[in-house]
Amino acid sequence: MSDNNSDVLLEVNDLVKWFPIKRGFFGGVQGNVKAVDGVSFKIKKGEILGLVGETGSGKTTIGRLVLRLIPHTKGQVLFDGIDITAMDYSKFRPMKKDMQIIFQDPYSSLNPRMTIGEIIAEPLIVHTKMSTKEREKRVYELLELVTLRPEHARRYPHEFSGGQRQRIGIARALALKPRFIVADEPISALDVSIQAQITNLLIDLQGRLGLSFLFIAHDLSVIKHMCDSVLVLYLGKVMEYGTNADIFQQSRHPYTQALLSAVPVPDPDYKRDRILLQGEIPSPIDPPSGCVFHTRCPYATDKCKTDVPELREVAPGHLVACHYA
Amino acid sequence: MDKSNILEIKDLHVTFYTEDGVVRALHGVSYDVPENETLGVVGESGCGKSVTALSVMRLLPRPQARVEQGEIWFRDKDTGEEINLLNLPEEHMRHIRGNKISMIFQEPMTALNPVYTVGDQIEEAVLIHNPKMSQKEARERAIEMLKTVGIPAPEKRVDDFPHQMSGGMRQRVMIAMALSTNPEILIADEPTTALDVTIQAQILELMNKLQEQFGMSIILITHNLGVVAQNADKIAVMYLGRIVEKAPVREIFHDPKHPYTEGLLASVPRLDKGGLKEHLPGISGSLPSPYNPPPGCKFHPRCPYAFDKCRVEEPPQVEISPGHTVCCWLHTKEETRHE
Ligand SMILES: Nc1ncnc2c1ncn2[C@@H]1O[C@H](COP(=O)(O)OP(=O)(O)OP(=O)(O)O)[C@@H](O)[C@H]1O
Ligand SMILES: Nc1ncnc2c1ncn2[C@@H]1O[C@H](COP(=O)(O)OP(=O)(O)O)[C@@H](O)[C@H]1O
Ligand SMILES: [Mg+2]
Ligand SMILES: [Mg+2]
Repeated sequence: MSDNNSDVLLEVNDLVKWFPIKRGFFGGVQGNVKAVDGVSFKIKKGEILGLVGETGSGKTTIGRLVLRLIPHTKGQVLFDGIDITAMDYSKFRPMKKDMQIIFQDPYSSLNPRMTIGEIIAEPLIVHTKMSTKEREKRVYELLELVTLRPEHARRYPHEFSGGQRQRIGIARALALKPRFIVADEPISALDVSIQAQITNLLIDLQGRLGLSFLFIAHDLSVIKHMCDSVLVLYLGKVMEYGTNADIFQQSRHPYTQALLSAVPVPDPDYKRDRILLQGEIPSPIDPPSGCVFHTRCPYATDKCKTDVPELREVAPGHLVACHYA
Repeated sequence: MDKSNILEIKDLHVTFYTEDGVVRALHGVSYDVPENETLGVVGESGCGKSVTALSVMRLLPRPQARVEQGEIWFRDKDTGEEINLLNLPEEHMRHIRGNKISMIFQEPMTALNPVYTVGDQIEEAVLIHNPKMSQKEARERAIEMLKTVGIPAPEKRVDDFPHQMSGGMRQRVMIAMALSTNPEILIADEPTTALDVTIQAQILELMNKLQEQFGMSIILITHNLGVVAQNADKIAVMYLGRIVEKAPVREIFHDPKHPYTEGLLASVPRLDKGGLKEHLPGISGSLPSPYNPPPGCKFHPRCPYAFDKCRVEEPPQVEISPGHTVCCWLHTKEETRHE
């Protein structure tokens, strides 16, 4: 994509993560799970990039790699132009406050023995020199930002509903005024009406605070609703990458098309061509040769079994990894 | 019973007596399951979808759960009898459960036994219901069922343990087990919630195909409006232990009457319409605690149209057109919308 580089907040180049498979306690390495296999993308300032793909496709792993929560195998992660994978951890530490994460499960991600006020203040204690007074003020600001009430600060997580706990998780993630947030399935554990409320809140905060997001979700309807650009993953590889309109109005990869055709639409009269994928996602330990998708692709040819398709630009900024796109 | 129905639930009240208090989980739930059709039951967590299903199966946890009132009528096609399942001796119920009414659960791992192969488990189900069958025949039936539900290489897979299979395959095994006895009703409680959309589409397609092939009724329980829109004939919408609206599928989606139904539909972003980052109208507030439900209409604290009467008196069920009922003061004759 030919953007002005100063607009780019996060740039990921050819990122690879292999998890070694060991047998037994002392056994040697048996092989590797190629969880992320050469992924590149950019997130501009104030942009939401959606990451979508079936279970095991590598979404969470990418989220953790770009925050340097786990070591990478190969490739680059540039935050504001600086490669965070190559720097000393002591140098990286102060950058961490710019990059935060919101988890899927609002239940397990909050310490049950801390009050909401303490939970939200914790990053402020670790990363800033704020006085107690200043911290208190900031906690109230944050509660207001996520539409909770000041008196909630004294209560404990178990006193809150799932949606409220997710608001608390969001407040904590925002405490240090980050510029970039990884949201890993932040609404999938919530009820339908609460999903809508949290979706509205995230969009509102993103706009007001000019945040950039890496937004991970299974649900393509949510991705379409929230994301400026979208990356479709399959077995650790990028199948298709483009703007919201590229993916939802003119997708060119059979995998994207199959995913779209499988999304249930709440309209009994909605008609479309359905591409029902056969079988399931193969094991990433022993991925298929050629195009990794060929075993399930309704259009696969002999060429797809042997030749790896490169990620080609089919229109400005719209990239597709398919020989026939 | 109405001739077109295979099951009729009438005014069911179920209460849980727990250490933390009393939960009136179902408060006058009624719905009909037409023969060879799919009834979709939707609503958010805790509204009573699973408790209703477990009541039909007579599998409510004891001693906490008590059926306080109501009837569940089932038509036994073999004998032509109409039976109130709630009055049936356990022995007779055991024959109906599995044989005539089967259930599949959201998390197949909890329903499959990890120490037996999937083949053993299907064979056991088959043998319980066909005691005269030989072991060999039961195994053949198990393989045949695995094939029917689309498991590749069923002769090999029959000897797999559940943990050797993916979530989608385990759900197929559950369906194979549930259908191995040719039931008349399949109750599917969130059968695809834990699965990827691609696998969800496969499982739903499979259920539709098997319904055509074997002719059965399905109760499809889900919180996903898209799933019922495309797979159910009739819909029941539940909120806090009540059915707030019931209608043929098209009416629910094109002409919802209950503010809760309307709010649910306005909560989901859609593939077929809606703009990027548009505000979702949705529903304000959150579900009240089941230990301490609000007075009057249970939805009134979240309802944008609520007026005085809603806060004190529970609305009755009214039929506003054939087969379309709603419990809302906006739709009773005496009242008009106060804005
Ligand atoms: N710590 C680990 N050790 C070994 N393998 C791992 C580890 N973490 C992830 N994997 C493997 O890496 C692949 C990608 O996993 P990841 O969790 O990133 O997928 P995901 O796209 O987030 O899936 P989901 O939709 O289920 O959350 C999977 O095959 C997974 O089993
Ligand atoms: N074993 C139980 N003990 C106490 N309360 C229960 C139990 N099972 C269900 N309930 C209560 O019954 C109500 C209905 O629950 P359920 O039918 O499981 O909801 P749904 O399936 O619609 O999510 C809820 O208020 C729930 O808390
Ligand atoms: Mg994940
Ligand atoms: Mg349930």
